[in-house]
Formats: sequence, structure tokens, C-alpha cells
Amino acid sequence: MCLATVYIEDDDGRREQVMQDVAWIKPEDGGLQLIPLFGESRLLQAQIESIDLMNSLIVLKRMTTNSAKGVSADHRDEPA
Amino acid sequence: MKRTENNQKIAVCGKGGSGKSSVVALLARSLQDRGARVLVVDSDESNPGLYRVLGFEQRPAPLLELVGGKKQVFPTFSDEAAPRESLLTRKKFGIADLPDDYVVERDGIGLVCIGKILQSLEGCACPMGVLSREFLKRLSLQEDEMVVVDMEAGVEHFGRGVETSIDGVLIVTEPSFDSLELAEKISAMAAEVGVERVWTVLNKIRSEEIASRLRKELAEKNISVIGSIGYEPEIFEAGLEGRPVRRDKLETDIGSMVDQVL
Repeated sequence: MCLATVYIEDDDGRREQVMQDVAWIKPEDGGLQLIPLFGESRLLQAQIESIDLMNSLIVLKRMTTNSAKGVSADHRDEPA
Repeated sequence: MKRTENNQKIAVCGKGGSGKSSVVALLARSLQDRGARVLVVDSDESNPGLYRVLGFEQRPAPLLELVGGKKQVFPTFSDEAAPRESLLTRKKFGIADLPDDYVVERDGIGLVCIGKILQSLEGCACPMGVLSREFLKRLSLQEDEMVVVDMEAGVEHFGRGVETSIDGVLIVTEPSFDSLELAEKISAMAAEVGVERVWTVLNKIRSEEIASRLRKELAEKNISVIGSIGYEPEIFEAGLEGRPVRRDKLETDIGSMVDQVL
């Protein structure tokens, strides 16, 4: 499946699924806008850790407050 | 609404050229004869002619357009002025909610089309697979509403999870080694995604001896045979001309097949 499943990975390597059937990813406002084929897009203050095209799997890491260009950790994820 | 025998989503699967579209049309007509409102879902992104097999003069607009079309998903969603609400952003909808442009209907049978590959080098059919899966998952049926899905040939749709909300899989099996092997594969994959009802119908059967051999082999594979369609000249002529089968010209009675599906 070309459309990707996106996970967020924490510092201990644990992964949490954040979105299925992601069609587009666009850098925006210091983070990444995830756009699925259906449903709401999301803006995550995160960066790409890895892209596995064989398994349609994208792993993100949350950005720290410093690396997120001043975005507060409490307001990192907002609907796009 | 909880599924009953009169309220099912049935996927018709099998090898390329085994007769899936013909069986879809015959099954849809027979279900409609018995009082069901039938929606046929054209989930085959390659073959163009199902609408003609069902007797429609034109194909409905592809549902993929509801998300902006394959090349327009991002521009559609990133345009602030573009409407983001559509049938496919809803978690649940019914047959009656389908927009007029995207369904053709006559004599109690409707047809929707997921999408077609139209150009060389346009890329793969993954968005269509996702759309098929989500459309079937979100489509809620009322009593006496039946969905018959014309799947693409082979088994790739299982990899895409299209069958996750399917109630029954009907495998069309023709007399060939590949078709028998594929029937076994489809049966196993259907079970893996939790489909409880799997049947096969034999097609292009020239003799009772051939039918017996197929029934024996399928029984060894634990696949239930619920019908057998002969090598019918009318089906081949209809296929050649791109028109509905004239059921009054068929030798085969598919009534028992429909009895077992319902």
C-alpha cells in the first residue's frame, strides 16, 4: 500500500500510531502537516525519523521545545 | 444495522477472465428479483465495461473524484476555500446518501464506481484500494439492501484490506489449475480477515464430469460449491457485445446459488 501509516516514536523506541492512509506530508509552521485520503489533516510538531517505502510506514519524532522554533510543548499538535 | 441474510455485502472474487462481472450481474438481478435493493460496487480499476453488463448507458462518475481525484488530493485539502466535507469524510452513510452524479440506478439496481486507471505511468491503484475499503466500511445497509462488489482479479485487494467489512466472498471458479489454486488462496485470505461466509460458483462448465472433478477438488480444499454455470453461448455473446445477459436464454438456473447466499 503506497498510502502510509504514520507513527510517533518516543525516546524509548515506543511507537504510537497517529494516522492511517496518509496521502501527503508537507513541512509547515516548523512541523509537518499530515493529509490523509479521508478525514481531517493534522499538524504535528515533529520531524521524520524514517520512511519505509516497502512497508508504507513513516516514523516521526516529536521535536523538543527548542527545536520546534519556540512552539510550546503543550500546544504542539493542532488541527491543520 | 446488524447484518442479516437480507442485508449483506458480498465480494465476487476470482481469477482474471473467470466470469466475475457476469456473475455479479446475474447475482444482482436475482437478488433484486427477490425484493432486495441492490448496489453494485465496481471495485475493478482496470476493466471498463461493468456498467454495460448491467444495462446502463453510462458509467457513474468515479467516487475517487469525491476526494479530488488521484492527482488532486493535496490541492483539494490544502485549499482553504475548498469544501472539506463530502460523503467520504463521514464515518457512516447509506445508499440513499450517495450523490446523484456518483450513482446510476435503474430497476432496483444501483451502480457506483471506485475509480479507473486511465493513463500509462499514472502510478498504482493504492488510493482506489483505500477508497474501496473505506467506502464499504462506512456504507451502512438497511433491511433488504444488498451490496455486490465486483473485485479486481486476483488477491491484491486482500492485501489492501478491502474485505475487512465484507460479509461474504463468492469465488468464481473456472476449470483451470490456476483458478482452483486461487480459490484456495482466496478462501484462506478471506478467513484471515474474518469473513465468515465463503462460497464458490463454478463457471464455464462443459460437462457434468468436469463439474464433478471441480467439486471434488474444491471439497478437498474445504470450499463450499453453491452453484454451477454452464458453458453458455448467451453469456459469451453478451460479453462480446457488452450487454446484459438475457436470462431467458440461459440453460443454467442460478436460483439455488442465490438461495444459499440469502
